Amino acid sequence: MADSRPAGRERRGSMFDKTLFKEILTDRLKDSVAEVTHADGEDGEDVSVEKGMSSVWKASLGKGKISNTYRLEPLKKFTPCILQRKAEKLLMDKLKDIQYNADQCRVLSEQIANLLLAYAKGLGCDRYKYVVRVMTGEKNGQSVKIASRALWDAEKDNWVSAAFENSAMFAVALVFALYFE
Amino acid sequence: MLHFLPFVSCSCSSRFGICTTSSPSNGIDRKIPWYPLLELNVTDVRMRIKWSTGSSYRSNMEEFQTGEETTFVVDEVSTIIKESVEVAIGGNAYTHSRVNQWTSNVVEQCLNQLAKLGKPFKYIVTCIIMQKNGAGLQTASSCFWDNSTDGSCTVRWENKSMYCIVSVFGLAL
Repeated sequence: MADSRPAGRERRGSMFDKTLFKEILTDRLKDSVAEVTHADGEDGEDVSVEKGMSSVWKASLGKGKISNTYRLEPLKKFTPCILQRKAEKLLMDKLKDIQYNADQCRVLSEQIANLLLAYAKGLGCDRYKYVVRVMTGEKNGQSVKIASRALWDAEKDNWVSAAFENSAMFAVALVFALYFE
Repeated sequence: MLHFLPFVSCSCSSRFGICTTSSPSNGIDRKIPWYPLLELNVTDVRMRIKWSTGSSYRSNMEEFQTGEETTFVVDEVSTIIKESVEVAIGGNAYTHSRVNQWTSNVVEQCLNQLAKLGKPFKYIVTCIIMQKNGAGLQTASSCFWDNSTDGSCTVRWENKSMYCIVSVFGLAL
């Protein structure tokens, strides 16, 4: 068995060896680059006086001053089908016959996201928080795969997705609705 | 360099003789940080406004904000995401037949690690894997949540043959 290898060629080290694992990993990843962006609601140094006041106010009030409603279920449950129809219609209206253009599509994606959020809020489901994602891309023969997974309450939380395609571009919209007591 | 908050001129009677109605506008001469305390009586409610110079303001803010409430910590989450992506697809070239498996792996790994953090959060993880072809991709997200406790983190990872964009949204319970 040992002779079947061409002479003078060394075996690659095992990945299960702790010291070698790091080297192998950095070797595999040397072509890759990662970039992080985030939105977490904390402002920089130009925090306005109002925000400063509200955090002091909150702390002085103490937590949990809201009275119990003893309600576990939402009054009006989130129905995905209505929003799906609206989302598809919105995508169709906004993106029909549009060619992909980076600046225009950036602005359009934001507009669509804001509009979808307004639609979702307009459904009138109380105590729901919404997350909307809109993705638009140019069609250039490449393939795209979009996957999502969530850790939530399966009975009360739901999601809606809508897709749109024309000859030059595609768009995908996702709306997640999460119930909060 | 000192940063000052925009001042609010209030016409109220202050309890302490120390402060006047407006904050100092020029602090360059000042060597000692100035902490006036203003107590305003607004109907039945009392509010305390604390003024301080920029460097210590943030620490006061954080003291108030992160008392008992859990907030979304971006650094932890971004580390988790980077690790999951690297383990699942690091070093591989784009292969159409394996993309399905890769996206599921990335998303599953992320979510498992996030659940292990043990924080009272609901998470949504989205992963986009796109082949590098010169095409453009725009993503936008709009959220209706509580700004002080909820947050999102997006990591854009790329190698020679593909892009991978993972977003995690964390909403506090």
